[in-house]
Amino acid sequence: MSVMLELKNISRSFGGVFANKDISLRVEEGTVYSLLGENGAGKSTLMNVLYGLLDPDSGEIFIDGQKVEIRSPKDAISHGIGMVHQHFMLVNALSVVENIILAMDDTKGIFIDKDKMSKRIREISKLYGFNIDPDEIVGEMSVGQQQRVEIVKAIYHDCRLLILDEPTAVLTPQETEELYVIIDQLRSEKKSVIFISHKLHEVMHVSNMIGVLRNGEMVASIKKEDTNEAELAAYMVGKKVNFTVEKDEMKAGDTVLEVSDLMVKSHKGNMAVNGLSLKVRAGEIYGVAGVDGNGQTEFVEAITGLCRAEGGTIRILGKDMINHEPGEVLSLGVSHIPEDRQKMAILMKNSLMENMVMYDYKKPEYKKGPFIDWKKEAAHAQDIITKYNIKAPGLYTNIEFLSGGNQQKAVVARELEKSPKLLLAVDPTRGVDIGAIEFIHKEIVKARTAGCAVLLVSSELDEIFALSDTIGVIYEGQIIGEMDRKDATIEKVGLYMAGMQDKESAEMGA
Amino acid sequence: MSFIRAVLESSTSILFASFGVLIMQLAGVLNIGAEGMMLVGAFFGVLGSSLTGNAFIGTLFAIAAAGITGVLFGYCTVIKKANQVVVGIAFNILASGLTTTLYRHIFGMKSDSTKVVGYTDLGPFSLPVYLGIALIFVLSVLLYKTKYGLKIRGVGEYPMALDSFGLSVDRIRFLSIIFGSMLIGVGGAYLSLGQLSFFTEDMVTGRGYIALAAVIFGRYSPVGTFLAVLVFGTGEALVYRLQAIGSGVPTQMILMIPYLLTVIVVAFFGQKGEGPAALGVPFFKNAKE
Repeated sequence: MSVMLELKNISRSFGGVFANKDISLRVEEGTVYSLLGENGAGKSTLMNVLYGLLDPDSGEIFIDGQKVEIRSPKDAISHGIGMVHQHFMLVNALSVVENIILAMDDTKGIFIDKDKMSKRIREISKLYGFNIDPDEIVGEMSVGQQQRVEIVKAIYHDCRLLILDEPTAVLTPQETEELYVIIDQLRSEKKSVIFISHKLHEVMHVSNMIGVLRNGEMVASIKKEDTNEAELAAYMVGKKVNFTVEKDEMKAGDTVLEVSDLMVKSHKGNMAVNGLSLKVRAGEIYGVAGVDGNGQTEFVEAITGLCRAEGGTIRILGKDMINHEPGEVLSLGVSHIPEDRQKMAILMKNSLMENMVMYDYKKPEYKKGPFIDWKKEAAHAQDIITKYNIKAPGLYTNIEFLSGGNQQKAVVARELEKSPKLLLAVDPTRGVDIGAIEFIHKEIVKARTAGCAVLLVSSELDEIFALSDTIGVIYEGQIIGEMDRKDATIEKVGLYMAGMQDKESAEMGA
Repeated sequence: MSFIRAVLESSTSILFASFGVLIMQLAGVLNIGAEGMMLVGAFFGVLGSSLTGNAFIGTLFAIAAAGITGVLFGYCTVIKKANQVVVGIAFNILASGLTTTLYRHIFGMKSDSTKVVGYTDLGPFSLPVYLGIALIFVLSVLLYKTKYGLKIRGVGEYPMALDSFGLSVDRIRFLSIIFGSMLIGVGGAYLSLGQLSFFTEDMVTGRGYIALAAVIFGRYSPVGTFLAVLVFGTGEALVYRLQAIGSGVPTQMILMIPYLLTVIVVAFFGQKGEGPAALGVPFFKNAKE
């Protein structure tokens, strides 16, 4: 097989810090090269260099053995490189065909020729089994379909090398499977793919070659057959990682959270939570597994008082707390790690310090008369930051400038510092690198062992299995299967997630 | 018939201004300064007409002056990325002061207004009225059938995408601002040359804000904006009519009609999420996400 792309000794630094240092890699025609690395390892920088969004400080790019200069995305496209960004470059208010015209604009004249473009889009769409309607408004499509529009856009340019930047981060498990099929088809057409991810099992599934970046350096470049997940993880973080979290035997106490027959409507108006019941005891981690969109969001928001319940009961520490104000719920000793940290957990434009002390400012010990005692708050924030090893340029840096992993660590630290009696953790490690995942998992287990009741809602099965004492599977707004962690297998939980009741419970019901 | 005539004449000034605002809003630029740009158009229209004795040359003066205002507005908001609302308000204050000063300096301090040559009628209406109606079609074609229109709509929604295609967000926005300002200038000129044939200080009296409301009410489309403007035009025509009949209703109450309409319309139709997603948000080119 011939080498389609070769990068030689690419270096790029920002303000004296190397984001990429002396990176070389080769992608052969018709293969998938995965680029694995933690957040901030330099994956995006490297791809932005390749796609012409950043100029390298040094290094060379060869395509089909010819040295090329790539100074802008236009150059990259003309060399047959296409890129699907993590945040799609699509205008939601416009239709598919309008988006593609906007991106291409290779026709003459001032008027747009939708018919010609639509025809081509349908052809490509048919070839890949995409079922895309060129006249559909992009904002009304599912995320998976939008991604396909991006792929069509790239193929429209006759792209031979497609860069997929964290393509699965936004997809459901089913959509991820479908993406794998698309990648296989691209491969069979002699197109090459660079697949960027920090998820090991995906990389093991999809790649021919795997390159691992750590702190801007290529630490390994291996054939898939010659490696395994544990080895890749070790390369990524530079030490052996332990996926199983060590924890003591559960010492379950009294029931802290009791939900029965809960009914909650989604903003679309359908009953997203439809008769859900469960109990979480002190000292227990109750893991709610399920495919995204089965009522998880509405369930947690109903508990915290962020959205109205239509019926059922929610008892926290024996008190009826249904449809109470969020403030009242929190004051009972409830902590919440919400699913979307940037929208719900932190104030992006405020400093790390202000974000850390958001619960404390009302407490008398942090006040000087009617005013906040900022000195005390700062000292307190500094303590937490040290204790939880949050890496930040400074206390007064806006939290938006921290890495995703450190933002999340800050949220976890703030919520756990309250010594909660009930912790609601929704995808607590989404978009977070392995080092931080390990840390967050340990902290959650620590809280549980100290007697906190933990309701963990996660779309990552690995996480559910690593942490939970009890596993419940949510499907269409109900817990349709519940089991002890010890009795749980991936297969069993997977069946429930797909909506299949097991024989046993079906018989019991009959 | 004469009432319909009054409606169309009252509407024309707001219509041009609304179309100017529409183009800018679609490109993601919130133009609170429409009021001031109209005032500049109104003054320079009168100045041009008084210097040349020709209302159309006066209109060209208005277009040029409003266009220059647009360049300044673009410099502040697009190049310097200043807050669009703040710049808009500053422009309104600047325009008020500038036109008042120039007017007193050039036309003197006389209390009676200086009459100049206005538009002559072609058939039932003067030319700008027809042009305003023709603009509905011209803008519809521009926005929905041409590449430029696609870029305008794209840049107001998700500028980062256009940037990634190698298109210049700043350029598209800047051109939209200049084009939009010129249209707003025509709206101002029609107010002074078409409806009144003279300039008075601060004569725009909120029509620039009414234009903003009309664009929202018209759901950001040329046809919709036209229909919305007709509603406001009717309100304004009603004011003249009611005052003429002498209905016994206090004048102050009658004068409130267009503004009350605006408040009602914005309160009921100005919900969030209707307009372009990137409206009012400065775009910073930044390759590293």
